Amino acid sequence: MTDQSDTGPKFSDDQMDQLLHSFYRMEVPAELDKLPSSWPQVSGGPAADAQQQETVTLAAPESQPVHQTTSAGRGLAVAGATLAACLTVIVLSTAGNRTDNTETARTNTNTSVVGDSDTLMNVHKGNDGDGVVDDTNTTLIEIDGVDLAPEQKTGDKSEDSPDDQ
Amino acid sequence: MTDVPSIETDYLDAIYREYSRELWAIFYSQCSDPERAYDAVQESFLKLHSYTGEPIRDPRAWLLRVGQNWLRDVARRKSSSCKLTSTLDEIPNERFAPEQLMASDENRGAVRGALQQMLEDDRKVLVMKYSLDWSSAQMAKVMDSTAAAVDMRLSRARRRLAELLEEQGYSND
Repeated sequence: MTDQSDTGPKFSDDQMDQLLHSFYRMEVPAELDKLPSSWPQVSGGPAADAQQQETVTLAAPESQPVHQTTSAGRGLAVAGATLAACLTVIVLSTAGNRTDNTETARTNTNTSVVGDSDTLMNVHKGNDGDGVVDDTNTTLIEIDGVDLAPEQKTGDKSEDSPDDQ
Repeated sequence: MTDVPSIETDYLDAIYREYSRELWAIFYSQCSDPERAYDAVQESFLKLHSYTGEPIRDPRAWLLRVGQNWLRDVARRKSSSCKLTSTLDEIPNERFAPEQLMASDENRGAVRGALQQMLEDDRKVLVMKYSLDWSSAQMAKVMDSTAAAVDMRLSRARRRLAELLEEQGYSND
C-alpha cells in the first residue's frame, strides 16, 4: 500500500480481505466491551448526575411518549377544571343578578310605597283642632273655600276684564 | 431523578451483550466514524436505561432507531469529521502488511474516507462481514435480500473500495 501515481499493482481480493479484517478490528473502540452497569451514568458514579440530566433531556422528546401523554392529560384536566370553575362563577353571578333584580324590584315597590307615605302630608297630623296644614297657617277650611268651579262666561265678566282696569 | 423507575441494570447488560456490537457496526456504516458510532450506541442504551414508557417489544429495533436519530441530529449540527488525512510520503514502502498499515491513523483515515464515498448498503455489508463476521445468510436476513445477492454486493463493495484507494495513490506494493 504505497503511493503509486502511475498505474501500480492492484489490490487482489485476498489482500482486500486481509486489509478489511485488520481495518475493522482496529476501528472497534475498546470501550464497546464495557457493559452499561460499569458506566457512571448508569451505576450512579460521580459524573452520573450531570450525565443523567442531559440524558433525560435528550430522551424526553422521543422515548417517553407515556410521560408526554400524562403531562398533556394533566394539562387538559387543569384547563377543564379552570373552565368549569369559570362557568360556575358566570352561572352563579348570572343567577345572582336575576335574584338581585327581583329583589330590587320588590324593594323599589316597597320603597315607593314607603316613600309616598313619607312624602305625603298628613293633613290631620298635629292639626286636629284648628285645621292648619302648613307653616303659613293655611287651613283646610280655607283651602276648601277656594272656588275651583269654572268661570261663568255669561254677562258679568266686567270684574276681570282688562278694559275696566 | 433517582425516583424515576428505569430498566434493570442486569437486563440492560444482557441486551447490551446481545446487540451492542451489531448496533455499533450499523452506526459505523452510516457515519464511518468509530467514536461517533460508539457514542450512538451509548446514547441509545442510556435512553433505554431511563425509559419508563410502554414495554418495548423489539429492543434491537428500538435501540437502532434511537441511535440513528441521534446520529442524524449530530450530523445536522456538524459536518462529518471523517477526512482524508493520509500523508502518502510518510507511508513506508514495504511489503504489504495490513495489520501494520491499519495501525496507522492516517491509513485508517484514508480507508474511512474511501468508505464514505461508497453506498451505505455497500458499507453495511463490509462492516457486517469484517467486523461482525456474519455469514451471507445472516446479512441477507437483516438486509431483506438473498445470500447470493449479498455475496455479489460484498464482492462489488470490496472492488469499489480497492479502486477508491488506488485512485488516491495506494497500491499493494
